[in-house]
Amino acid sequence: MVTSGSPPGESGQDALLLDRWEGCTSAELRSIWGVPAVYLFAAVGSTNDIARRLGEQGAATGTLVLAEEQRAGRGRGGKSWSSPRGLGLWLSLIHRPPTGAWIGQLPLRIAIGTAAALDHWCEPKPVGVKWPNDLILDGKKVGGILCEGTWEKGELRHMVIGIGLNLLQGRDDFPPQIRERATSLRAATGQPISRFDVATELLDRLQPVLRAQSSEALPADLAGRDVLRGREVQIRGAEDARTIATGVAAGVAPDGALVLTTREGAVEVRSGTVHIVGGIG
Amino acid sequence: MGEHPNERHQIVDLDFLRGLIAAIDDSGIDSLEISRGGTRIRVAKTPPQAPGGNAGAGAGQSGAPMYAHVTPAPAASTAAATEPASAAAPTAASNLVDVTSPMVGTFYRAPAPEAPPYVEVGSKVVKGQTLCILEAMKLMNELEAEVEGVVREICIESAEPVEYGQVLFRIEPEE
Repeated sequence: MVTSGSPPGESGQDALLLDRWEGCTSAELRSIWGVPAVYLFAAVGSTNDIARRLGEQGAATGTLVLAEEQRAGRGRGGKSWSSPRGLGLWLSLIHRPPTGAWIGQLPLRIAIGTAAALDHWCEPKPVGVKWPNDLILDGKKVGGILCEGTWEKGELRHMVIGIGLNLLQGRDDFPPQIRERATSLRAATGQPISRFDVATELLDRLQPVLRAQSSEALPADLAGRDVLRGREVQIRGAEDARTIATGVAAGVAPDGALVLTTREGAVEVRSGTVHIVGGIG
Repeated sequence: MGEHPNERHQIVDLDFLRGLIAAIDDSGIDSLEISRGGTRIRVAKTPPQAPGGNAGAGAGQSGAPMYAHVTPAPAASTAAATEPASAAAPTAASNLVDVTSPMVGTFYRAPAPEAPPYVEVGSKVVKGQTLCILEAMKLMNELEAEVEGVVREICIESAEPVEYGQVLFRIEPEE
């Protein structure tokens, strides 16, 4: 059931409220998932944009925005994220971690937590993480994380954690330009997938991640998930795609930076786009 | 950094500056910023007294005052400030308010490579308006204006690394 109206956080015709998702009302989902509020939408521009506005209006930490479809789903740097109706998990969470340099680790920590949630359907093979925020299965992208913070007066006011997981798509459900680079959990595993089960597992796994403190080391299972390790990679600028550095990925530094072995020695990478030479991405 | 004040006068060619001012005066543009020999020169007409007025109406007014602001261009790699300024602090020599980086990261003037910048020199900003994005390991952070006013300086190029406490913008506050 879809009702139009004036959904919280988004004006205009783009956002349509949803009464139930996978048979559950938002109140039921709130109770099952142990979050303060769940906003359900049939279609939105971007769940991150709605969550951000809710955050600005003072919505509680942990508030969840979930949509059946994103019409303008976003990846990093304004790239679009294909989010077709009913075929994935498109959600955003409001988070307010204590301000500190360590919050730069959060995209990576959330990617590792999300990968751990998906392991349930992929065992014994661990779901891969492509530093710092892409999820990889069979060498293809199965999900991504987009974390966006809003700062005022030197303090983080709130952060929106956007998670997009491809769950049920077949090959032809992906736009042609990403068809060879994207996959879904169902396509990769050949198993029936329940979106409700994936969401429940994901939110369960993310609870400790979101409670993590700055002093906690990055999860040890990262090494086994790191799809870049040992591969030759290029780091390119986000704006003009010029190559900033080339080298062999050698793991992740304690602060979350990607370590690259180059001809000039080891360098730590904290921005830019990672391309595997002769591979995905 | 560490530049002797006299050296600035040697760098700036007065004839060049006069020519620049005359060029702005005769033109319809409000401000111009150029980098030359490591020195950044910005020449701007003072903001209109009545914001929102017709831009063409000022042409007949007598001698619109001008001012020139000269600052050394920031070094390519500024050392991390050991004692970072607060997020918004009035600068000593003027009423401009510094907007500093609350983190180590990469500075972006626009949300996407092909998108227009959030603000330009001369842009009027309101409190809470997004000024830029700072990326820290794919955490995309939007920095909001804390004062209402006019952006007078953008102190760093897009896609450049920034340090904690580094000045990113200077804003002239409006009462």
